[in-house]
Amino acid sequence: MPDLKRLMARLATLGALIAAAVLVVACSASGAAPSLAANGASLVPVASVRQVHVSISDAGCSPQDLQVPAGPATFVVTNQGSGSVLEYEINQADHVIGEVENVVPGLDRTFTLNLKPGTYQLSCPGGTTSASGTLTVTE
Amino acid sequence: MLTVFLIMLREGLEAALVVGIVIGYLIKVGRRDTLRWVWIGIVAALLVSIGAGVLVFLTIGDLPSSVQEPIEGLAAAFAVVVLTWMLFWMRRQGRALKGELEGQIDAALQAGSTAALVSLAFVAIVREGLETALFLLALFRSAAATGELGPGLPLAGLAGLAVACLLGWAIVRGAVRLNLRRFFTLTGIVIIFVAAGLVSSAIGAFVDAGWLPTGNPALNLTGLLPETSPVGALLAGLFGYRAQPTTLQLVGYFGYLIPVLTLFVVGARLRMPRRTRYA
Repeated sequence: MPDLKRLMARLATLGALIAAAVLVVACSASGAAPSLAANGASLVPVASVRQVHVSISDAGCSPQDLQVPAGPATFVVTNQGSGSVLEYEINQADHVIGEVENVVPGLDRTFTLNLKPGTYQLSCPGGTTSASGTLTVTE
Repeated sequence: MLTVFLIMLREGLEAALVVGIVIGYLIKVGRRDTLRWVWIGIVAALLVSIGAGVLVFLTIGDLPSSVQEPIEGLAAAFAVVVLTWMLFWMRRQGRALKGELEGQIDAALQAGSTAALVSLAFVAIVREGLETALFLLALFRSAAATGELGPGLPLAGLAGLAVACLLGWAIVRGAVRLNLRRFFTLTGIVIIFVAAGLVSSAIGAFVDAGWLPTGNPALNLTGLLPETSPVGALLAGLFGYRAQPTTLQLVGYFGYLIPVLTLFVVGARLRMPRRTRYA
């Protein structure tokens, strides 16, 4: 069937184009990776945003209980586990206010929140013993 | 590495399945002339995904979930609507079908219908496309930044997408071989499960967006079939399987699945006697 062959050829072309585009961007970005956030292009100047390093383990959120001063904070999430837990969420009164998904081991993913004082819930779905935790934001 | 492969397979599969069904359907009803538009939709979706992904990656690094999740949720909701409409359109066509002569099908696809199918293909891809592009870009960056990882992770991701595309192509190929009545029935049932999964996905996305309250998981199937396992990832991509669905997601899933499936199957049964009489 010629149409299927044409379809397949188009699929292959598309795939090659995507791969090439992704490669080009990733390579040009990787060289500048350390300065990526500080090159002025980011919406929030990095210097003024507190970085909070947290991790995911197979047990869940690590640390399970976290304390952070109020204000903007960028959560840098890494995965120290085997990959059975891939998501890190911060909830307030049963609503998600910030989260990252697909945090595979070896990949840092970040999200930024402007935190007001109070108590929040951490959630790392799929974790064995610390799938949920507490975030306390102090004045 | 397997995790990355499976994530990309899962994200790609849903889109590939929907696009495969749309293409198979248009070929089946003899509207190959509209395929050009579907391809334009596909290419546009890929360009938008990659373009926006690159832009976000180079500026703010990652898309906030407050932007990402509403897009995913609304796109899933739109896909449910179009798939459901397609389902009932197919049933009407099936009813109009006398015997199994494919030539007799009235392929009077209105301009609006074609537009809906093309936007379905577009939306199915854009839905996960942006997140997928960002995920792949982040993988490439981390592979380049920390030498220890090597190109394994991004390549595993691309392989996952490639397998998803291959499966989409297999669906088109398989669908084209079926006779029209069987195509309608089989595709119809697949569409119902896919759409039910999309209802649950939309609810999940709206929860992650903060639009709906988070609920405790109603079930925990992680021990039985983790989402991160190969079978779990396949089922997640095809039918929206979740290892820890919330009550709301279960209600959404079955609240769609049971009535629509019943209507579809009962409708098919009711048509049977008439058909055998004419045969």
